[in-house]
Amino acid sequence: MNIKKLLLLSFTAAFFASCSNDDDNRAPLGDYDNGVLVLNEGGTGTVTYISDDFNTVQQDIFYEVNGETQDLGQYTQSIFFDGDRAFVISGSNKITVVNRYTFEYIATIDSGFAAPRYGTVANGKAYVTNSNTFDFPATDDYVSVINLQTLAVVGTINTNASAERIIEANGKIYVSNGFFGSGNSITVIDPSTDAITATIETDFAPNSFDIENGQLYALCAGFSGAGELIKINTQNNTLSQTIELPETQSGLANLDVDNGNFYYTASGNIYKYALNATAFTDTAFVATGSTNPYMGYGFAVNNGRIYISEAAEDFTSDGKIFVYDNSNGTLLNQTTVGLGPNGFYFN
Amino acid sequence: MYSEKWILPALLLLCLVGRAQQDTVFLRQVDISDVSLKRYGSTQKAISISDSVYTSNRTSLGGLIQFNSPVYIRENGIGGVSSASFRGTTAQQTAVIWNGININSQFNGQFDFNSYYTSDAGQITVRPGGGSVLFGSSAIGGSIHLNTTLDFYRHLDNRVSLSYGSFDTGRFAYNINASDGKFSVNASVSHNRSENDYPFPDSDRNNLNGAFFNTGISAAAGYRINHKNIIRLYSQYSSGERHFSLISPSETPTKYQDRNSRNLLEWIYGNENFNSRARVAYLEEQYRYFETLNDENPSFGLAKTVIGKYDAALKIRSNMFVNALVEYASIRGSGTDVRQTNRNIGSGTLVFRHIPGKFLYELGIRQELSDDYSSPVLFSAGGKYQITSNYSLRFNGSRNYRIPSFNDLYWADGGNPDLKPESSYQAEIGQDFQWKNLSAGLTVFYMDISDMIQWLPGTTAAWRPVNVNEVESFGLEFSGKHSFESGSHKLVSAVLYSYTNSQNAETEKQLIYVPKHKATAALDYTYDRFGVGLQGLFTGSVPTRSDNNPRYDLDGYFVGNGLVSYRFGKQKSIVVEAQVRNVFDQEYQTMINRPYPGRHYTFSLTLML
Repeated sequence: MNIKKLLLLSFTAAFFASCSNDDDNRAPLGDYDNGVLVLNEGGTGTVTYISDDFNTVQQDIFYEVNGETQDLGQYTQSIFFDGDRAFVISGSNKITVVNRYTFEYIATIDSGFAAPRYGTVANGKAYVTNSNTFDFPATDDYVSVINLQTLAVVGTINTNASAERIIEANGKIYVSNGFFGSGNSITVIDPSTDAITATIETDFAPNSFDIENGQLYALCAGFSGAGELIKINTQNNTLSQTIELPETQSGLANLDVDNGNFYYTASGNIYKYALNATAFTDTAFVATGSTNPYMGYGFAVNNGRIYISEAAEDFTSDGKIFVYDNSNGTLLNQTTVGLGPNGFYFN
Repeated sequence: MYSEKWILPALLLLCLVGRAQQDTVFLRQVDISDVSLKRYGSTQKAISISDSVYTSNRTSLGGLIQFNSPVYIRENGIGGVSSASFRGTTAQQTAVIWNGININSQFNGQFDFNSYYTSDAGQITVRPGGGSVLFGSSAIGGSIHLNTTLDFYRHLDNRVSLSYGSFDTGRFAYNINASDGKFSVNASVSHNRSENDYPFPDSDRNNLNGAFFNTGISAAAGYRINHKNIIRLYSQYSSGERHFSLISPSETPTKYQDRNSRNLLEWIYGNENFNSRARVAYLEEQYRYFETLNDENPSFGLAKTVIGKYDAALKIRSNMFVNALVEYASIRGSGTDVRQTNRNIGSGTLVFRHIPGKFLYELGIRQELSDDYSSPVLFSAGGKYQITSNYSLRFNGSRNYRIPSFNDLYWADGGNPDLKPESSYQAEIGQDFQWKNLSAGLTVFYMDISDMIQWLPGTTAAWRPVNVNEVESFGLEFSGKHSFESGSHKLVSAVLYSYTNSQNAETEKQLIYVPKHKATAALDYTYDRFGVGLQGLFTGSVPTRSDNNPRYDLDGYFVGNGLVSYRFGKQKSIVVEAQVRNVFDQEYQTMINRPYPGRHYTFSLTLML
């Protein structure tokens, strides 16, 4: 255990060092650089900016910058980026494109979607998953293909399974087919042809992805009950490793792989294990102490910190975010944000 | 349409019931079926809104209640889902009573005021305060009574009404009201439709996907067998389709269809000392929700309710009455989202009323038995003291409840069969003042609601209802009314003000969508053939977030409506009317992101034959 901690510390130190080298001399690219954007899903979606030193907290920056003429739409689900542009996906079938550092409005894309969820970028195009009618088992979910030059939806790819999380790895697009603990596969799309090239079966529903050193990791779990971490070989799209996680954990979600460790949340706890660990004891890295099932509504690990959000249990009041040190689990900050904070995005 | 035949009974029997009339009303075979409303009206104040000029061509039932009562109506814009908050309570805590029968939805426990289409409600009465002993589940904040009148004097009245207005809104209604002394009929057919694509004030947007149409048929018939026996039948059928308007223009358009049928048969036997009513009701409630406009498999719900009621009232002495009531209801619910279930509810109620002199008091107790939840013993105790001929004091204390709805108990993904009913204790003190044509009332109330059902995120399903919240409310209601008549001039003015402090006992925050301040004012003036009506509504700011974050409060507003009418013809039987709603073009919302239209118009032509 001590050796592990030591290892972690050294990893963290190395990470800090490398990051500060990159960032030291860069001038801020806008008011919302050098901080984290927290996406709050709504009513009408908002974005909260929190500076890295926690000294600046600004609610609803889209409104602050752009006024009333535009809004981000209802139920903002996620954000993806293409260079300086941020694409904010709203469940009311639209994507609002803004400058990620200034949050100045650029464009709205509002046709070609049906309950859009998540997006990623590959081969000069953006790929956005759509839940469509939310039917189950899903038959009508699809991926919209957006031309990043014209910002028009130029094609759709039917997944014939739930289309939820989406990520680009090794030049391919991976779509998780899990939805609220159901579904058990991952769809692979070739962005040069926009055709499905493989389907990877999983034991449980994949609910979150991350990439480390060109390897794709997916956390798979039911709505409640046990889960596992799988590693996918992105050369041949086969499972290269399956890590069974403690059966005593329930509702596993929010995978984040960072510096040789993987993190996730379950029942208000944050778990952290080394990727090369061989034994997994059910010991929380951080026990938040919250019994709210919405603790962990959003989650990310970045730059030595763990960010976790807690949507209000009644979903009719502002949520909170908590920031922990990822080496020792100390609480560094907590801040009230907007309604239903569901994701963290780092500038 | 200002027919005194409609106005007089309402005026006589409701607001201004003097003590002298009370004993006779108790056993009289009153002209409506909701007999409890009249027998036990005196220790709590009831507001009749049947006598406004606006009732004749009302644009919506919710709007009528919003502008004439302390009830706060929350509406997703014109035609959208519309529900009530009464004395700071939730939509499930207002009971809507049709001819004595509770018609709140079996599925969600609330009443959607924009799904009540028929135009026959001869009397609309709003009764603030607990009334579960008399009116059953949901009568926590108060109850709203829709009653069809059946008159047995010889008459034949036909009425045809056509109206058209802004946003391509049209309405047709035909009513017949007739009696030969033995047989009485009150029937109506109405059809409404609207494109409802109004522009939002202070915005470049329009209400999108808001169109609706609906048809309502209603027929009531009574037969007076002899001076001791009457049989009455009430039937109502309505069917409508509403597109649900969009918050964001890019949203997927949805629509909603509903169909309701309500039937009630009653036999009344009465003599000087005894009155018995046997009633059987059959209700069908059906909805279909289309997630897309062409959804081939819309979700649906269907609830069939059979109710049997027997009510016996006995005059023990000249000033002492007792009323026993037994009721049995069997409800069968099915649908795409609820597990098919039967539920059976039986109840027994005993009410005692004594008028020793200037003081009168009423005591009531009710116990309900059900196969899927356990109910508390409900009670009510009230008194009224007529201190002087123009001043009286009243008080009432009660325990009331709201039973879990089908969705709460049997929702396929998350329904909780272990729910208890919500229950409340309530106390109120009121005073009423009457001097010549001026009347005023002031009521203060306190309410404590426990076991409030709230849907919260769960570990086995996304959402699950639990008995979690406790709410404490207090507030006051003031009402004043003045009428003036001189020659052909007639002027009626009314004001209402309510203050409502309704807090979650744990967080001490005001409940969402409960305004602290609401006031209405109305003025009706008629001079011979000419009529004018003015209405005003003030609502203070309303929290929309449970943490009361003021950033998301709905702003307070004042909205005014105006109406002018003129009667043509020898018999004054042709009425032309013009209404302007939201005269000051105020931007306002009662639900967040659901703006109402700015200034808009309705013109109507009514023929009375």
